[in-house]
Parts: sequence; structure tokens; C-alpha cells
Amino acid sequence: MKIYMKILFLLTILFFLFSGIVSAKLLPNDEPVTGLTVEDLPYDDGGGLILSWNPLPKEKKIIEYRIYRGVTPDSLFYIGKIPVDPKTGIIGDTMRYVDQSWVFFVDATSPAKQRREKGQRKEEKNAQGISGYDVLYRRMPRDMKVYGPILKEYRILTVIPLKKYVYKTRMREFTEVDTTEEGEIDTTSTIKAGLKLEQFRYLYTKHIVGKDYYYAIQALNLTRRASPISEIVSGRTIDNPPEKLKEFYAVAYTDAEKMHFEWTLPTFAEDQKQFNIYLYDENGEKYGIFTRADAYPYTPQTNAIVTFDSIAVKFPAFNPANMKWYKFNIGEIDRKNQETLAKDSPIPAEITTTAILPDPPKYFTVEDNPNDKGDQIRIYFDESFLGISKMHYNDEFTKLNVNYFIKDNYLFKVRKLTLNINGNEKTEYVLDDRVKFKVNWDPNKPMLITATFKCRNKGEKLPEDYSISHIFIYDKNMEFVRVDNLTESELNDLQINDPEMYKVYIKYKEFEKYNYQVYKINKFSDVYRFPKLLSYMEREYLDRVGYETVEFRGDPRFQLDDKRLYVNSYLGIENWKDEYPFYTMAIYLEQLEKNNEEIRDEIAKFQKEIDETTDEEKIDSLNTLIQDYTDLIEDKPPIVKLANQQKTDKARMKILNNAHCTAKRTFNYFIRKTDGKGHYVDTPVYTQPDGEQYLFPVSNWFNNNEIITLIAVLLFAILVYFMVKLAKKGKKLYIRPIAGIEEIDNALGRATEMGRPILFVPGLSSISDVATLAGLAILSKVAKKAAEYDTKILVPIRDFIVLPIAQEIVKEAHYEAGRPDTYDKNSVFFITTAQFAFVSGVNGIMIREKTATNFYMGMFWAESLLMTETGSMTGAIQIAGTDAITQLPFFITTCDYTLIGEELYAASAYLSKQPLILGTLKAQDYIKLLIVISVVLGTLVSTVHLTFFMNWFPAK
Amino acid sequence: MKRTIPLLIVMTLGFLFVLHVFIPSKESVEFFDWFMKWIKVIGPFAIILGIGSLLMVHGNKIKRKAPNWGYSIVTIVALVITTLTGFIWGIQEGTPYMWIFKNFNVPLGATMFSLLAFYIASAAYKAFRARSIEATVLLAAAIIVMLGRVSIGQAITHWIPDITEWILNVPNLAAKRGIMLGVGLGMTATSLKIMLGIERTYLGGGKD
Repeated sequence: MKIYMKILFLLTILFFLFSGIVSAKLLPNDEPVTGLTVEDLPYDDGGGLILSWNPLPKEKKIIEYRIYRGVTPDSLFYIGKIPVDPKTGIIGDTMRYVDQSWVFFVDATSPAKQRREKGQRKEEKNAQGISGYDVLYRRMPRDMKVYGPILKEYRILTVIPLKKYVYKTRMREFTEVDTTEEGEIDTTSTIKAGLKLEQFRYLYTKHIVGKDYYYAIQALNLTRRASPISEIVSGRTIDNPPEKLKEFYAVAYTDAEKMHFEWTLPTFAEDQKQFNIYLYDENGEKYGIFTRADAYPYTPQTNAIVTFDSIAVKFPAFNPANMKWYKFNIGEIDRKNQETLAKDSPIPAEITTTAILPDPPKYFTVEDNPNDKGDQIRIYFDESFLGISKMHYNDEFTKLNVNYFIKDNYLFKVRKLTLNINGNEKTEYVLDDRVKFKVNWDPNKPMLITATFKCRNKGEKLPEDYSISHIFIYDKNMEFVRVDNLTESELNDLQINDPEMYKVYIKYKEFEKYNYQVYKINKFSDVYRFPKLLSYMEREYLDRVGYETVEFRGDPRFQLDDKRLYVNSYLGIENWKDEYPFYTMAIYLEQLEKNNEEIRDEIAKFQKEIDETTDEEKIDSLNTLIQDYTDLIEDKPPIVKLANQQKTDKARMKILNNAHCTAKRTFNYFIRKTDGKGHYVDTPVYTQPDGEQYLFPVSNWFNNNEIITLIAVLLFAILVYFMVKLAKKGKKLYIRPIAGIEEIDNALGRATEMGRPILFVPGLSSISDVATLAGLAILSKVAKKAAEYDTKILVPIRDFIVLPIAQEIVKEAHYEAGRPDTYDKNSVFFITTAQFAFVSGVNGIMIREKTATNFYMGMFWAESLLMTETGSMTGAIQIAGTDAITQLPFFITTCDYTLIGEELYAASAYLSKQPLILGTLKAQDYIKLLIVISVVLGTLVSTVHLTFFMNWFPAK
Repeated sequence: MKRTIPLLIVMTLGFLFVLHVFIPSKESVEFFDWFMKWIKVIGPFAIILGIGSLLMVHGNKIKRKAPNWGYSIVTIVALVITTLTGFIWGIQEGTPYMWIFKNFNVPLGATMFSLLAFYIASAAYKAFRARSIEATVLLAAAIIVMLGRVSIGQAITHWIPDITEWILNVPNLAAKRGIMLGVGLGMTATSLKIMLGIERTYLGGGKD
């Protein structure tokens, strides 16, 4: 009867829970989304559409709006959703979704078959008389019969794992027969590389310009009931001209006879192909004086240097003396050759000399970053920098706390820092980012803090007089210290009262204006790209040069007979001479042979024409063509020649792929220091000591930062070896007694006497946690003793993988104790992975089973106290052991004995008394002694300002 | 064989993973990443073992009509219902599975967690009883730290927050670091014992 009462109690709780939910107000989701419009996205490349609609009322508890798209109104596929918090709903009366850029289309994880969307209602039709049931489908399926014909309705970008593209494709020749205007039959054959859909990583889509696309919206409420389909609305994309540039500056440097142009990019810059700079003469006549392509697809350009000489070539009447009459403008051109000028009316140039420019960054160095997997290049320049992050006085203005930060680099690694305020000097031997000054100056007057550095010597020496100064003042109104930020009146006062400090301030403000742009170019490109803008404070940059893992190919062709998608079968190799900036190679030998054959046929045709004509001019032009065609066969990079000598496609592609990856990952660099307004200076392109400008990142086989760790591990291993040897020889190794372990026998004896079970929790962590392994090792010993005493042991488990291991351990313990009959497989059991549900399970066991002894050995979190306090209330003897520092106080407070940290790991050795295990324990003690000696030694030498010992050890 | 092969696998992979710490090369990183994927693959299979164990323990209890066997029915019914709702309607927001999670699992878990506040008070009472010199020192330190963490401490004297900071950053941190050093060494020693085959309890039973 009692059990039925309990079930009744639980059902009552359930009833109340359900009734609370059911009674909550939820309006029926029976109205479609209204006001759907689809408009072209401005300034883009014709790939974007914006959808807008009116959100449904908050009371409908909508959790998501689902967006469907199609090329015809009768089949729309799910492309994305906008999640909504049903409690707050949508604030505002319009929702927007931008269908722009490359959108996921299909891949191997897509549904196998075309499936209608769930939750559509047959009976409900929209304004056009179409019911949702008829038109809405889930994601595009991976069935080629469905997605294949749709491919031509979009621009498609395929992402293919590089190795699959290079080694796993199937060659296929496609022949197109066409009739020319003259009525001749023209046959073109193309070789393509075929892959199955699962070999692609993704297929992306983008709209085709000028084509109609159809959209519909459905809203899902809290019970996942879908609203009726919205009106199906179409939209057409337009390739718009680029957006206007935000800023444009022209600066003429008369002494250097050159002009600098600089501009800032608009929001949508992906479509920009090139820029043109125009000069307008005194009569308003326009001349194009400079043009350059962007480094697509990486970064559009933001500046250009144009020499007077090159202007004169484009504008013969150019006279630098008339510079003040000339005006300038810039036009950005997109991939459809549409141009937008930056300024409505051209601007005059700032006429100046290079004397106003700052010095270029010094000590500019580019080198392979050591200790990495070969995917980073280290770039550093200039001397160390010190910045002030915060300063504050105490209320009595007797103390000033300065929080600083250092930006240094490999060349000038700061080891020691001296800060000086008004003659009050503090030297920082340990750079802990804060220093305290005792003050005796007026906080309301500007003060100067100057930092000088002592750096690690790596070839270059920091100039003796190098320092960084900041000016600070106490702001009475705001009650904080302002650094490098004086008001106009404070600055005027400073100029009058302290001209020297004024000069320092002005110099710092000038220094602050200039940031660094790192430029790089690989052996695959002809335009520098701009990977990183560094602030004026930065001194080092690690440029990530990731490994080539994918190839991008556009517009695949599908073949239903072999279920493959066919893409272009050429691989880029390197930038080979000016005439082949993007040298590509056929990926199949057969394809190469066929191409060569066609070229030879053309050459033979030209030769025949030469033989038949006497026109010298025609013969000359035909000879040039023959030379060009011959070059196509013979003028190849050496690596390609080597590859083409290989007999198999695989061997050939191995060489070509290596060349491809190497060229893409080999860069040269320079730095531009700029204020963003046309005032900039460049470093030369970095040249390595061997004269080479290009650098390829090297994969390293040893991490030098881990030397100390390696030494420590080796030392430990050697100590373990000797201690184990000593123990095996029979030498008695003294092990400090640990109360918690010694009490295990008594605790087990108590449980036996009381006839109650033992509870053993081997932590809540997974098997990969060493604490769990230590807990299981103790379980083995405890279970054996429990088996010997014939006492029941209960082992609740939280981790699935720990479960079979614990079961095996307990089983083995029973076998070892000679009591296999007492082993009960169900004594080691899984409860749940949920942390607090596990706790309630364990607590329930303690109370119901009235366990006499509880062991908690392993990793624990917030649940520790919940378990041990319950155990304490039931009157059980409790022994805990953990390496979780935050839980130790709880265990110590509530358990009878606690194994603290390393004692948990020592416990199994202590219990087993095996020489092998005792040896490791002893070695552990000796290593600990060494660590203590190192800590004491480090403290002593650091106290006398010798930091070398401390610096030997890695920071983490 | 039952023990030798797993032991060989553990030793070989153990040493390879140690080498991975010192070798940053591409090959080493790729091997490590590849292996981590395998761990993710193996994990879910163990769920079957866990569920099997749960069903067996509670099934036996129901069968034997063991004391409190009604709870076992609740456990199994909850397991079946939750699993079925997940399989049938999915696990996204708005599904019955998510409803069960939000309305049963979360509040019940929160209830257990909230008990912690009372247990901490009870544990603190036990710890702070000034029965010895050590316990008195602990009590004094605790009072200072507690006062230093609330605004009343600053109001009494600015020394209290300063002393609090000192207690936390000097003696407390020193003790913590001491324990952490020991833990680090203990972990290394245990790992080494496992790699060298000295510690084999995790292999469970079976003959060589």
C-alpha cells in the first residue's frame, strides 16, 4: 500500500505541473505571416535580396520564422530560420532576413529524399489558392534528380577537400556540338573532373542577376504548430554600382615627386574589382592617371602611390607647379564594370613635402615562427612600447597606483623596466603590470611618466636614450586620472608653464596618429593584400598561414548516369613570368596530352598558312602565334616539367599539388605606417639574410618552449626507474602514514559488523580524468576487502565508459578474494549523467540502503557537499579523496577522513604495498623536494633582483 | 592476450601523446586531432551499456518487488517517455522533449542545487566551532574574509578588505599551489604508472 501512496503522490505533482502548462494562454497559430516583400539588396553584386514581413503578435508565442526559397512558386525549399524568444516576441513591426552571399545549398548530410515540410495543413490555402502542403519542402535533398536541374538556376560555388580534388576525381570528356552563324557545325570538347556529392565539403548558392526567386514564410509556435503559409512573393536581383567610398584623401609630396592617395572602404566591398584615380585639370577635363586591380578575394585596396612621371604619361600637360589647380577623384569599379565616384565634386590635393612624414618602422623583420606546426610567420618591428591602462590616487593624494602594459617583440623583449615620475624612480624586475608610487606633487598639474627599458639582447641593442613618456592629470570633475588626453585649456597652460613637457605631449600625439598596415603577397598573386591593421602600440604580429585544405570550383555540371558533379580540372601552380600570372595545369596526363595535341594541330595549321602565303606581314604575325603556341607547350616552370615526366597521374599530381600548396603559402611582406589620410611611409619588402624575399613557414619537430618540461619528465622517469629498482632489491622505502587510508580497514570492518553495505562513488568525471583512474585503483582494493569480509558494495556510476571498467574491477576483486559467488553485477550500476539527478540518486541509496561506510574517491564538483552532508546525517563513516581544490574544504568538514590532492594518487600504492608502485611514490616525493628547492632558490634570487632563474621556466 | 593487447595499446598511445606535447609539427597535430575524433565516435556506444545497466538494475527491482520498487517504475517510464519524445518529435525548442527537459529536469536539478545553500551553512557551523586553536584561527580568518567581501567590512575599517585580499592571495594561494603541485605530480606519476604498465587496475579482470 505504501508504494501505491508514493506513486499517487508523484502523479499528483505531475498533474499540477501539466495543468499549469495547459492553462497558460496560447493563441491558435492559424494566421499566416503578412506583408512579405522581397527587394534587391543595394550596392551588392546582384547576389542579395532582402525579405521583410510583419511579425505575428507576441501572444501567439512564436519560436521561429522559417524561410523557404525556390526558383518556381510551386516548390520552395527550407533555407534558414530566425529564432524568436516566445516570452518577448519581436519588438518592432518589421522583421528582415537577408538572403545574401553564398548560402548553403546541399552536401552529404542533406536529407536523402525530397520531403514535404512537417506541420503543413492541406485545408488551408493562401491568397493565391496554394496550400502550404503543396509547395513547402524541407532542406534541399542530396538526390541528384532533385538538386541537379536546379544547379543552373543559381551561381554555384563548390568547396572540395584538396586531396579529394587532386587524387580522387574521375576524368570525363564532354563534347558540345553547336552550329555557328555561318551554318558550320562546331564541336568543342572539354575535360572535367568528376566527384560524388559526398566527396564535396559543401555546395553554396548565390542568386543569378536578373532572375526571379520565390519566397514564403511560416511561423512555428511554442507547440511547434506551423502557421499557414504566407503569400509567395518573388524578388529579382540587380547588380548595383558600388557604394560611395566614405573618405578619400590626395596628398602631393613635391620633393619626392609623387602623390599618395588613401580612402576608406564602403560597407559592401566584396564586389569591387579595381579602382581608377582621376585628375581634373584647371578646365575640369578628366584624365585617368592610375588604375589597379584589387587583391580579390582577400582585400580591396585602400591606398595608392602615383609618381609625377606616371601622371605625366597619362596627362601630358601635367605640371607639378600647377598642383593647386588640379583636383582628384577616385572611382571604384565592380565586376560588372560599373563605376561609382567617391566624391560628387573632385577634391584638391594637400601639397606638402615628405618632411612631415614619420620615420618608417625600424628593425622590420619577417621570419618563420618557431615551435609551431608551420602555419605562422612572425613579423616584428620598432622598439618596445609601454602603455598606461589605468592610474589612480588614494583619497589623500599620497599614493599613485599605475597599471601599465608592455608591447614588445622578439628583438626587444623587456626584462626590466624603470618608471620615473618627477624624479621618483621605480624599477620593475618582475613585470606584473602594476607599480605603486608614493607621491609628493600636485595632482591637478600635468605630470610626466617616463619609462626606460632593459631588454634581452637578440642581435640588436636598444638605443641608450630610448624611452616612452605619457602625460597625466587628475580630473577633479570625473575623479579619475586622464592619460595623454589634455583639454584645450590644459594644453595652453602647459605650453606656457612647461614648454618641454608640451613638446613631449605633442610628439606623443603625433606618434599616436600612425597605425601599421601589414601587407603580403604570395607566389600565386600579383597584388599585395592587406591582412592586418595594427595599432600604433603593436610591435609584433603572428601572421597565420593556414595549410591548404580545400579547393573552390564554380558551376559544376551534373551527370545522372554516374551520379557525379563535374568541375573544372585545372590546378593553379604558381605565378610564372609576367605572361602567366596564374599558371595552371591540367590535372590529368591524358588531358595534358590532348591539350598539347590541339596546340600542335594549331601550330601545323599556322605553318600551312605560312607555306601558302607570301604576305610578309601575315608571315610575321603567324610566326609570333607559332612562338606563343610553342611556349604554351614548352615554356613551363621547372616543377611542372618534372611533374609531366611522371608516368602516373598520382605521381604527377603529388608534385603539382606540393608546388600549388607551396606557392600559395609562400609570402613576402612590407609594412605601411599610415594615419589613414594619405600620409604614409613604407618599409622596403623584407629581404632575408640570404637575399630571398619570399618566406615559407616551416613545420617544427621540437617545441623549444617545453625544454624545462622535458627535463622534468626525464628526471622524474629516471627517479622512478631507480626507486623501483631499489624497491625490487628489497630496500625498505618509508612512506608517510596517511590516516584516511589506514582507516579503510576499520571502516570496512564497521560495515561488516553492522551488516550494512558500503557505498563507493568513483567521482563524477570521465575515464580520461586521472583522478577517476586513481579512484578506480582504490575501488579495486576496497572491493577486494569487502569481498573478503563478505560485505555488499554499491558503486553508482555517472559516466557510461567508467561503468564497464568499474564492473570489471569489482568482479576481478571478488575473484581475487576467492569469492566469485558473491559478485553481483548489479552492484555497479549507472544512474544518470545529469549532475544533480545523480546526487539525488546517490542520496536516496544512502538513506534507503543505510550504508555504513561511504567512499568518495575521484573528481567532484558542486555535488560533493550534497552527498557528504547526507552521508553525515545517516551516520555513515565517510572517507573522501579528491584533487578538486574547491571541494576539499567541504570534504574535510563533513567526512571523517579526507585524502587531500596527491594522497588520492598515493592511496592505491599505499594499499597495495607493491615495490613497483611504492617506487613511483618515492620518486614523486624526491621530485617534490626538487620543486621546493627550486621555489626557495627562485624566491631568493628574485629577491635580489636576479630574474634569470625565474625566466628559465615557462609562464604556463 | 586479453590484457596484453590493451596494455600495448595504452603504452604506445600514451607515449605518442607525451611526444605530441613536445612535437608541434603538422603530422603530430593531425594525429592528435584524428584520435580525438575517434574518442567522440566511441563514446556514444557506451550509452548502450549505461542504459542496459539502468534497465537491468531497475528491472530486477520491479521483478523482485524489492523495497521502493515503485521508484524503479518511475525511472523506466521516464526513460522510455523521454527517449520516445526525442525520437519522434526531435529535440529542438518547442518539442515535447524540450518541454520535459525544461519542466522536469531543470527545476528538479535546481531544487537539488538550492539545497546546497543550507548544507553550506550546516558545514560552516561544523567547521567554525572553535574547539581548538586551529579551528579558532579558521573561524577568525573566515569572519574577516566574509566581512571583507561585503560593503560593511569596508565601512568598519579599510583594513578588513586589505586583510581579506592578503589572506586570499598569500596563505590561501600558497596552500592551494602546494596542493596543486602535489596533484600535478600525482597525476604525472599515475599516468607514468599506467603507461609503463605498473598500474593495471583499470584493465579489470581476465587472464593474460
